[in-house]
Amino acid sequence: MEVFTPRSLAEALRLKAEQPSAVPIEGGTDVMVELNFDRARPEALLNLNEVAELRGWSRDNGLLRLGASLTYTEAMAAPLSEQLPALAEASRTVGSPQIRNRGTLGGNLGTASPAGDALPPLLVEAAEVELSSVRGVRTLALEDFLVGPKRNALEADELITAVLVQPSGARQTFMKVGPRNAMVIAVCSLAVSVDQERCELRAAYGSAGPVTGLVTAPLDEVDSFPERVAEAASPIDDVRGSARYRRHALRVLAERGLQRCLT
Amino acid sequence: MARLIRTEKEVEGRYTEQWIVVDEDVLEQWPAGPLETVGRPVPRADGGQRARGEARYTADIKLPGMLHAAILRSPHAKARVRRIDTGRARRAPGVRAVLGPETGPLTDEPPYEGAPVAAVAAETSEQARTAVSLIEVEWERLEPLLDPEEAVRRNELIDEPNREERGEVERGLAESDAVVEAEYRTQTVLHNSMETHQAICEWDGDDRLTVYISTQFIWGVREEVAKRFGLPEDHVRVVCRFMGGGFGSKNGPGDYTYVAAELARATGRPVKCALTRREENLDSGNRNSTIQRLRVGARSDGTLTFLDGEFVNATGWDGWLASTGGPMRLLYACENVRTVEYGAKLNTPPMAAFRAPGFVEGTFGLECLLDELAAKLEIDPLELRRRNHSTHDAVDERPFSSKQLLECYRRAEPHWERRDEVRARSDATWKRGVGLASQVWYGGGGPPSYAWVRIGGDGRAAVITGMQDIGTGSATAMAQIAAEELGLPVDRIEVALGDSARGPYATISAGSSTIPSMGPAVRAAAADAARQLIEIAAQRYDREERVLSLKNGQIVSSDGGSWPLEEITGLLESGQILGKGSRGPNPTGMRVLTFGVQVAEVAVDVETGEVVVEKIVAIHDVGRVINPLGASSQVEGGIIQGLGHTLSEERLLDPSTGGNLTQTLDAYKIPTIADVPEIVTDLVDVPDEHLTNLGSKGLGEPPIIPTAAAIANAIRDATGADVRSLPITREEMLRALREASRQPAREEVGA
Amino acid sequence: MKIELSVNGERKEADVWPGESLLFTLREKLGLPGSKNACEQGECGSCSVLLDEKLVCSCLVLTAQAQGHEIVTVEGIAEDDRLHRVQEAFVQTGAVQCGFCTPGLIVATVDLLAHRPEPSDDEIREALSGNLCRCTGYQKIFDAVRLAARA
Repeated sequence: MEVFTPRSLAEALRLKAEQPSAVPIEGGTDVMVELNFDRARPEALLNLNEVAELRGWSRDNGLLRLGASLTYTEAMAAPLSEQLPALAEASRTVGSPQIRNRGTLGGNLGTASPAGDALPPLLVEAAEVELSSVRGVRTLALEDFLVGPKRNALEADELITAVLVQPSGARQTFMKVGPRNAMVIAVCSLAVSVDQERCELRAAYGSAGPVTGLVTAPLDEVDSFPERVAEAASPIDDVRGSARYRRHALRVLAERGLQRCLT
Repeated sequence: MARLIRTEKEVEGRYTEQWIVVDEDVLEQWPAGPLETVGRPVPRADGGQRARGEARYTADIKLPGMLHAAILRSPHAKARVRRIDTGRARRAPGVRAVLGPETGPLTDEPPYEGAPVAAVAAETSEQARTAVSLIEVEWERLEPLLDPEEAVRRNELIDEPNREERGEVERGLAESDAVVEAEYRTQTVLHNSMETHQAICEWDGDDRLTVYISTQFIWGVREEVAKRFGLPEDHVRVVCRFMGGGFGSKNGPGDYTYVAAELARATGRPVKCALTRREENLDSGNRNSTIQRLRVGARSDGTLTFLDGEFVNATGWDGWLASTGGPMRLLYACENVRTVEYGAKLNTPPMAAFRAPGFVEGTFGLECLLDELAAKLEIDPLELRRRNHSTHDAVDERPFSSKQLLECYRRAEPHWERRDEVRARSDATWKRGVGLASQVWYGGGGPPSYAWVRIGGDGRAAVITGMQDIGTGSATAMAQIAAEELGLPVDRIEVALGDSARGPYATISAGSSTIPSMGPAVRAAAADAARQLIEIAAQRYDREERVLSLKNGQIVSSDGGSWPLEEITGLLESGQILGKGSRGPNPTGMRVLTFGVQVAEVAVDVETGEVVVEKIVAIHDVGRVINPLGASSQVEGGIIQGLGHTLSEERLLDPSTGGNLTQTLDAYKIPTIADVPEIVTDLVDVPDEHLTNLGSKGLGEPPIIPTAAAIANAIRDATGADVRSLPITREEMLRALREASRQPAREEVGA
Repeated sequence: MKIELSVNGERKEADVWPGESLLFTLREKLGLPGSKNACEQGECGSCSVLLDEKLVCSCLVLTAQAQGHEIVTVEGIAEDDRLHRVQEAFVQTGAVQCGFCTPGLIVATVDLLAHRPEPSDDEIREALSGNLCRCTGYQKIFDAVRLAARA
């Protein structure tokens, strides 16, 4: 095994092109567990911690650019949290301070787990993912990026470099049902937004289907929306909960989310 | 003169008779209430070392030349090894030895998932694990038996069923005005001590072995290891200085110790075998699941007419039949009681003692049943318990050595009376309620246990004993007892423990027995040293012995005059005063038990099924309290483990394969600081006047016993729903709510 | 591979396996077993250290990622002979039981108080929710944090 530590994005992209099997590692919250549990022995690790271009966030003409290395802790801090309040709430429910200090948006997208906490709020805000390689840069709608459980549209030579969001300004929230108060992978989670300007209801669920899914409806269909959310999901039975319960919980979370966003 | 007597000993509710030698002189108990040191809060002496990260646990010990072991464990619940090839593992980098199933305790017919099959010793743990992955096994998979009810039907039992009956249940049934019948279920839970099971074995020649081990019983490990390797017991030295929790799972050496010893013998080097968290949750013991079919009858005034219980314990491949019917037999006065306990032998990992084994499970069923009865009879649940209070052990008609349960009930009243106020804080989503449950358990400890006390020229004292401190603070309690007897400030006492080669035999730290077993021996040893000090001082200062006493580090004469202790001990220069003491017998013909009651306040989100425990009041009778700081910590810790047991912890097995789905701590949910309610601890603190020279009973286990039932009863109070299955997950809560809404309205519940 | 890093203010070098965690390096290579290994997946917090003044689980940091960075472990918290006020408070309030989780909690509490000198109970809950303790029931950990905050 080898570890590459590029000092710039250009170097990182070059290394990824030369060794496509290299596994990117940022906060290590997923990759290290695989290593510690002897589940993975990749040929190489690509440590992205020293790539300055991936850090922080910026705003250009209203468009937010969140670097792939943005941590949950950073997503919780103002003024970013005011722009993307549901993402801030979701970040707060991620693990512990230890995990929030290390876990990154890029990592959450790269793992593409249906339980990824950052994904529902970003879907509700119609985020795009920026993918870079030595071949160039492309952007994909988050929905198109997430192609299956723990599968994404990343090519072998590409790195996730940023998430692009035009904040809707809509009232929004994120909620989670877990078996314990803290440090939980959700039984299911839901981000909800009520966009009065575009007259749209949006919801995205986590841990209730093979991928994080988005549900939308016109504003005047508030009453039937929770049911629609529950029906749109395709949950399974697993260690954390049954499909039946997950559907029920989504309905309750949708009702509560709408209530929060409408009052 | 030494006196030989026969006495009864109890550990975890299992009684044995044994001979012991006792000293003629029996010390009178100290007066009740806080004394100079005993009964007052004392921070633990070694807390600083632990807080600095300087305490060396077994996990931290590195011996020169030490190798690391890794174990190949069966991936199947029942299988046979058709062929095993360890060649690649032997040739892997760093590997120094490989053992196959021909070496015990490794096996080629693993009877449960996680059973050890082969083992490797290598220079690093990474190399050892890699080598294990290179062992090739051709398995023949066999059909596992996983269903405990099926095992009982097939008579696949760990032991003979335990049938006990007093009176006649049928007669009681005929006399009943009300009968309640229900089935309760409790899940398998895992200890998850923060330090996993581990041992380092080092041979000195071929007939002396040192074992560094994270254990609750140094002497038990010594005995079992000596027996296994055919060594004189004194050729086995067992060391456990700092220990990262056990909760009943570390009472013996375990397979990992034998694997380390065999690999150490094969390589001639010390070998450490440390379980990973995943191995820990596969094969280091568990609180087995239970199915309890219970019936209770009562007259309209609440007098119990009969109790009847059938208990199926999913014991697993090995272990023992936990006393799930114990609470039913012991907690209440009832003439007609029948219990049948089965231990199903299954292709699942062996159970191990886990903090009040059997009683935690059995109390959940019994105390929920009592509340269901109270609702039917429209009697206040606390009043129902009072009306059936027992004054003696009805199993064998013995009087209790002490019982302050009525006092516990009295102290519970103000908390119990909050229920109208708590319920009134309910809204459409969150329903609130209050519940309570009683508790009975053993915890009297017993002989043998020994201690030595050594006083040096500097007037400082050392308590020397082969006990272990598993994290409860027993060492600090022993220092307090010695300090009290010697009239010394507690910071002038050292406690040397954790090494079988450096102190006499001491109790297992299990069954809430460390303080009641060890404390009296330490007091006796300190008294022996104190007596010698007084005798010497009387000669030196020309006083009568009867006017002299030890206080605040001084020898004090009641007719005037006092001398610092070091003035007299200093005369001896390098000389020392040595005292010895032993644990005396338990009171003849009496039953020593601990009692208590807990009151829980909960809030239930009836839409999501979330249960939030807001407050638990714990009132317990454990005799004299030595260190209130350590004691309240035991109570709080027990309650939080009980909370996990009630709400979030469950080992899940794949029902078709018997594979463990919850090996890691992201899947197996123990409570975090974000889950804890307010806890109020109230200890009655009245010495048991019949029990030893101390009057202290044990406290490790009682606090976990009533928690689940108190919470479940509070949920019934809040919602009218009967939760009869643990853990009360959100789904289970919603299921119970749906069931309650299908039944006729029960407005009278809890009224 | 060779890694150079600063631990508790001292420059250290270690020869590590590329996939090695910082926790393993600290415990097995650098003689600092204060940080404990109890879950290997960032669930229990027993291995908490400060990495460039940020609280992290050292089991989830690749040692190679620590190259050139500053680490503070529980061994670097006390001021010479004197316990740090957080350590002192844990001892005094009985928040230390078996003590296996204590080093991680000490580091997490030091980090909490650095950001919130007078944390509310809810802030304590949030800040310490990544540190599992199986013994104390957490009540005395609340007491310890409150005491340390006042000290």
